[in-house]
This record gives sequence, C-alpha cells and structure tokens, in this order.
Amino acid sequence: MNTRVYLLLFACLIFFQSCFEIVETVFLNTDGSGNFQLVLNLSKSKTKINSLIKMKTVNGHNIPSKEEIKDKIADIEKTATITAGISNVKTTIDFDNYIATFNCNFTQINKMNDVVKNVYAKEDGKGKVPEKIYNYTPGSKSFNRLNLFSFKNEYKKLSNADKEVFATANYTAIFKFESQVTTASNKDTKIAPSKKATMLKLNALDLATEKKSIENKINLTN
Amino acid sequence: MKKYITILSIFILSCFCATAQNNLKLVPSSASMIIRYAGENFMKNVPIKKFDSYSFVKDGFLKSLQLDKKSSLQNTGINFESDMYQYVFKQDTCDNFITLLQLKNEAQFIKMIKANYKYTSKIENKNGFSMIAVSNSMYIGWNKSMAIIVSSDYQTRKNYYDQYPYTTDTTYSAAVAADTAVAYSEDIIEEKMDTLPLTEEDLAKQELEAEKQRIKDSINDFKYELWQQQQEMIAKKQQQIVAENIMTKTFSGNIKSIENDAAYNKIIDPSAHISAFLSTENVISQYQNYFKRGYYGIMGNISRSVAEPADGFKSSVNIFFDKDKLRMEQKSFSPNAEDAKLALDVMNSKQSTELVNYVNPGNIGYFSMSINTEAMANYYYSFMKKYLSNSGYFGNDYSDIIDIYIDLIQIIVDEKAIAELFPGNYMFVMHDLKPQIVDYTDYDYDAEYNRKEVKKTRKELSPDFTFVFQTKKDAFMEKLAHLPLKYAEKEHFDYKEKEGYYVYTFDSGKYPIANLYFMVKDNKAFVTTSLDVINMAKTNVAFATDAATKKSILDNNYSFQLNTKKLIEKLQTQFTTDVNKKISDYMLQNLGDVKMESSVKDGIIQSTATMNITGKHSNSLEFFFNMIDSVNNIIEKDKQEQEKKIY
Repeated sequence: MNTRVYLLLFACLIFFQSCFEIVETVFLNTDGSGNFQLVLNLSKSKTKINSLIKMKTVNGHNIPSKEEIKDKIADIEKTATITAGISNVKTTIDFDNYIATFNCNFTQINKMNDVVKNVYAKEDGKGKVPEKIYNYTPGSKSFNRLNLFSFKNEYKKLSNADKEVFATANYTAIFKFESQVTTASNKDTKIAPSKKATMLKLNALDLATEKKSIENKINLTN
Repeated sequence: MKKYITILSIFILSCFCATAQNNLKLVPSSASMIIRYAGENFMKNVPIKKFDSYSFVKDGFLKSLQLDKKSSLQNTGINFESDMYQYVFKQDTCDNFITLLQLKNEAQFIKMIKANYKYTSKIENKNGFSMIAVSNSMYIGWNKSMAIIVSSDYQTRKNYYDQYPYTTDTTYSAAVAADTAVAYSEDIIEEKMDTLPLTEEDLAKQELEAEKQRIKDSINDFKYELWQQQQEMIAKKQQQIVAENIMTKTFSGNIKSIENDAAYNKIIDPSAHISAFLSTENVISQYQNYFKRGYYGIMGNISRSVAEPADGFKSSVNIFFDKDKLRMEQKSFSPNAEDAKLALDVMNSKQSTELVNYVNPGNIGYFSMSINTEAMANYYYSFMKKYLSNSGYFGNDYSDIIDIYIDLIQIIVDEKAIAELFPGNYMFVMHDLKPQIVDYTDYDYDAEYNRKEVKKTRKELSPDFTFVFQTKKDAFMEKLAHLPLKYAEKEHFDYKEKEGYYVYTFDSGKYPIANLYFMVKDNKAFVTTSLDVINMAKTNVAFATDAATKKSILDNNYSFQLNTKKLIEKLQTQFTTDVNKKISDYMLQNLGDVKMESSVKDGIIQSTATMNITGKHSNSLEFFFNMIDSVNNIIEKDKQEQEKKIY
C-alpha cells in the first residue's frame, strides 16, 4: 500500500478527529501484473468533518481546505501516472461522504513500490524511503506484503483526544490471485472458500501500537 | 503532562504559606497585580504531609527541585507557616515579577539553590543578603528569614531598524535594490526559461550579482547579530541593577507599602485562601511597552485604547476552598466617579421574565445576560474620545476636534434606537444533547471478499439549544428573518416559511443539526433547534423553570449554570479509549455543578462562581489535588500499558 498516502492523510485524520477505514485491494495475476485500489473512508465522521472543514485551525493544527485536499490527491495521481509500469491511474474524492479512492493498473506489482518512492520523494519525505511494500516474482510461489514504515513513536506523542481517532478505525487488506492460496503467515488472515482471495481486517489502534501487523506472506500454488 | 503538573505544583506550593508574618508591608503600593496566598487556611485544608504523599509531587515536583522522592517539601527550607506574596511591579524600564517567601532553614534553602543552580552562577554576598543570578533575567536573594525571587524584563531594548532605517542605510538600500533586481531577474528567468535560452554571459552576470548579494547579506547579518548581543548585554545589566535594587529595598523594609491602601482593603477578603488584586491602569501602562515595541509601533494605539477607559478600575478575585465547593468571588470598582457611573449604568438592567420561560428543567446549561445597551453605547463614546485624543495618529493637538467629532457621531447615531433593537437581554439554553441518527457508507464483503458499498446508520450527539433575545423592533427582525427566502432557491439552500416561523433544513445526515428555526414574536427573537420551543412561544407556554434558577436569572445581570454530570454522561457515549472513559468516570463521580452569578452590590460589580464537588474529599482543595493525582495516575498507567503493547 502507498505508505506516503498514509502519512499525508494521517494529518487529516488527526485534524478531523475522525474514525476512518482504509481498504487496500490488490488483484494480482500470475505474471505479476494487476490492479491496485486504495480507499479512505471517513464517512462515519462526516458530520464532524463538515463542521471542522469550515474552520482554518483546530487545536493549532491547520485544517486543509477542500481545494487543498483535491490538489494533494491530484499531485499523487500525477506522480503515479508518470511512474513506469503504472497505467489507468484514477483518483476520486467524494466530499458528501468524505471517501477518497486511488486506483491504478501495474505491469508488475513491484512497480507499486516505485509509486510509493516517487510520491515520497515528491512530498520531500524525511527519513528513510520505504524500499518495498510488495514483493512478488512471477512464477514464484509467495506474495509478500511488507511494512517498513512505523508511526508508533508519532502515536505515542499524540494526545488522548487524538488517540480516540484510532480506537474505532479499521484497516482492511484484500488480496486476490489467479492461483490458489495455500497459507498466510499473518494469523488474522481469512482465506476465501475458493482459496483465491484473502482478507486481513485489523483495528487501527492495534496497528498504531504495533500490537498487530499488516505484514503477510501468502503462499500460492503456482 | 509532567511539565504542566510541575507548573501547577509551583503554583500550589505557594498556597502553603500562612499569614503568620505580614509580608504585605513589603509589597509596593504601585504594584499592578498582587497575589496573596493565605497559607493558614491551606494548612488546615491540606497538611504538607498529605501534599508530600501525592505521586505527582514525589515524581514531578520534588524531582524538578533536585530533591529525593522520599524527601519533603519541608526540606526546601521554605517556611510554609509564613505568608507569601507575588506581585508585578515596574521599575527603571523593567517589568518585574516578584515572589516573597519566608525561610525557616537557610542552610536547606541554600542546599536546594546549589543543587539546582551551582553550575550556572555563584552566590554573591550583598549588604544584608545573599544573591544568585539564576539566569539573565531571574535572581534569587535571601537572608536568614526571607527569600525573594525577582524575574526582571528590560522593556526599552532598541530596535535595530530604528538605528539603521531602511531608507537611510545605503548598504541596506543597495542590498534591497540588488535583492529586488535579483528577484526580478529570477522571475524573468522563471517565466522565460522555456522560450528564451540564456547565454553563458547572462549566467555569469547573474552569478556575479548573486555573489555580491551574498556578501552584502553576510555583512548585514553580522551587524544584526552584534547589535542583538549588545542589546542583550544592556538588558542583562539593567535587569541585574533593578533586581538588586528591589532586593535591597525589600530586605531593608524601605518600601511604600500597599498595606493601608483603601482600594486594596475594600475588595480583598482576608478570609480567602487566595486573593488576587489587579490595578487595571497600572497593568495596562506596564504592558504598554510590549505593544509599543510592535512593528512600527502600530500596536501602541491599541494599548492606549485599552488603557484609558479602564483608568482607575480596581479588581480582585478571592478564592475559597470550601468543604463542598470551590468558590471564586470577583469584585470590580473604580474610585473615579465618572468611570464608576459608566460601569454601573451598563449594569443597570434586569432580565426579562419572559426569557426565563425557555430555561427547561434538567437542562445541560444556560447563560443569561442582561445589560443596558444604551448605557453601553454611551460608554463607547467616552472610550472613543479617550482613545482618539491619545492616539499616536492624531495626538493631543487634535483632542478638541476629536471631542467635537465624537459628539457629532453621538448626535447622528441614535443609541436609543439601537437599544430598542437590542435592549440587552439575552438567553442561551443548552436544553440537551440528543442522539441523532446519521448515515454513513460502510463496506460489506461476500464470500470471495468482493467489496460492496452499504449505507448504515449510527447515533451521534446533536445539540438541542435555544438562543433568544429581547427586541422592541419586531418588524425589522421579521424582515431580517424573511430575507433568506428570496435567495433560497437561487443559492440552493433549504429555507422555508412555516406558520409563524422559518426553518433552515441542513442536508440530511451531513451536519450534527437537522433543523434551525427562526421566529420573531412578542418582542422576542428566537434561534433554536427545538420545534417544541417554537410551539411553546407560539402558544405562550413556558417551561416549569425551578424557583432557584428563576431567582438567579432575575436577580443578576449575568447568570450561568452547567450541569456537569449530565454533560459528562452525554459525552461519555462518544468516548472509545479506556483512558478517556476512566477520566470521565472519575469526573462524573467527583465533579458537581458549576454556577456563576454577577450583579452590582454596594456600588461594586460582584461575581460569584462556584464549582461543587462530590466524592470522598475532606474539602475542595484536597479534591483539587486528588483530581490532579488521580488523572495523572490514569494517564501514566495507560502510558505504561501502551508501552507494554508497543515493546
């Protein structure tokens, strides 16, 4: 998943004091190509956001305007579009329900790692650039979802009010394959009856405190 | 969190000083603010041993004083059975915040000083006292029985740009010109980059200009740095002179004291645990320099505007830690007859009985205000005259013209008509926080984890409130309420006229409020979320407001009440983390209602605010410490649990 997007939107989540849901979906073909979807859903907090977005600052934090949010998403779309191996990039933002989506095709899943790096570089991200979030070689029998990014230190610094944001928030990762899944290393992973899809749904608080992880090694039959 | 606790603790520490010895005689009559801590009462409420036992004292406060956690506040050498005063005082262009303490053990006090500051400064022996510079602005002095802490701030630092103004400083002008030229050329380069290729000669020229600019900048930066260092040295020297001077006068007792000041004694209650005295004109004049130092001195006019009309006002806050409540008594008056009359005229108003009708029993809170708008308008004429005649733009030379000008405005502006539109009676009632159903988008997944959008609903708190005010211009207010109807369709908002009222409907499920109602009837204008209130107003029905609330509203210019239990109960439904739930549980069990009333009594504007306490506390001071300790413990325990989860 696009870690930098997490970082960018993390600020919005805190400012808006909102419970949220992130859904990451990857459709992976055996040859390594496929489709990536990311959804950020803040609709559970839309009444609060509708009120807050009219303000310039809350608790000293700047509140991004709708235009600023649109610009930021457009920047990400532009960066992804010019990344080699990435096509059909589409982003949407629904300000009625506060749902943002990012969708693209890739020739190789590893190209998504380049998208993350490029967005990170574009946004002048400080610290180490996450080298890989996905690892899959066509023909190999395992798909890896890595997590080299941690915000446990940032989380620890948050106020109790800000921590409320994570208590009811969720992160969901859905991975779909042409071949069948044999095992998944993350014990919270559910495997579909067809064995061609997995779902990992975690509470954001558990992720922030690193009680649980989004890391997963999925073994395939091909 | 610990930082705040430590700051609070220092404040609370002051509370342990008693009135056994009278340090008031050492407080100058020209002090702008004086805080008195009546320790005898504090000692009765919370003994030092009890205070020592709090974890935030052991782990925070004692540690910050470099004392062992098994130590005691007694080991600071400070005599907690003697009095303490803090005051703000201006001398020789320095603003000073001074703390007066009595000592019982000089050796222990010196030990504490050395433990904290031995590496920063050395102790100097002066005439009858010892002194140490803790920093460039803070000095501690003491003898065998008393200590004084002076925090001094030099106020007349010169502005660098006054010395080297933009217009006359050729270097700077050249730098600005060069800067502008470079910036302009950079802009041109930016704009033309794509269309006009730059020659090597152009680039060399630009590089030369940029290099010249860098040299000029570095010279200017160096000059600026030197200037700041020089100003800092001047300030440090002046601050030390002033601190020494204050200490010498204090230890020799050579001070014209406020002890027998009539205004001070009129509004300071000796039985209070804490008293604060504010001489408004002294405060403003002392802090005027802060404003004057603003960019180009523009802020200087603001300071004058605040200073002059407040001239002569004396205010106090007396705090009492009663057994079952925390009580704050505020008093304010002016010895200046003209100022006093203006202020009392503003308060010469009585709340309308009709507005009380909308305070429902079991409300979460209300705020009632009744002031004389006409008197308020007249007050502003006086304010404007004093402001403009002292303004830096006009000066005293034009004060007569300004006086006539304000009189002319007074003739043109019909303050009686304004007072008819808004006579000055206002009421805000938070009836309730009601759960409102709002929808949101969620996702369901089939057996193969295909995502499908679904609409779900959840309960959210929605404020149910009424704001109603008196008006004698019903027709005008009705026109105002009617106006949005004309633009509703064109601007795509839902504003409709109903039978005798108007309703603005928010987009469904998008805002915490569903409808906002507007109505003008019988000299009252309503803005409310409650259709019940609208119907009540239409049929002249009133809530059965309890007698005590009615009395509080009708007998006072300001009346405020907050039902904290009800508010916390409502808010608790929105908390999800354990730590917030635990803190709110504690508050629910220990906090009582908050009330405030304000009116004129004996020619003085007097306010009383109370916060009731419940739970197992000997008194409200102990409750205060218990609350800090308990909340701190809850947060620390949660942090430890989170650490366990993380590592």
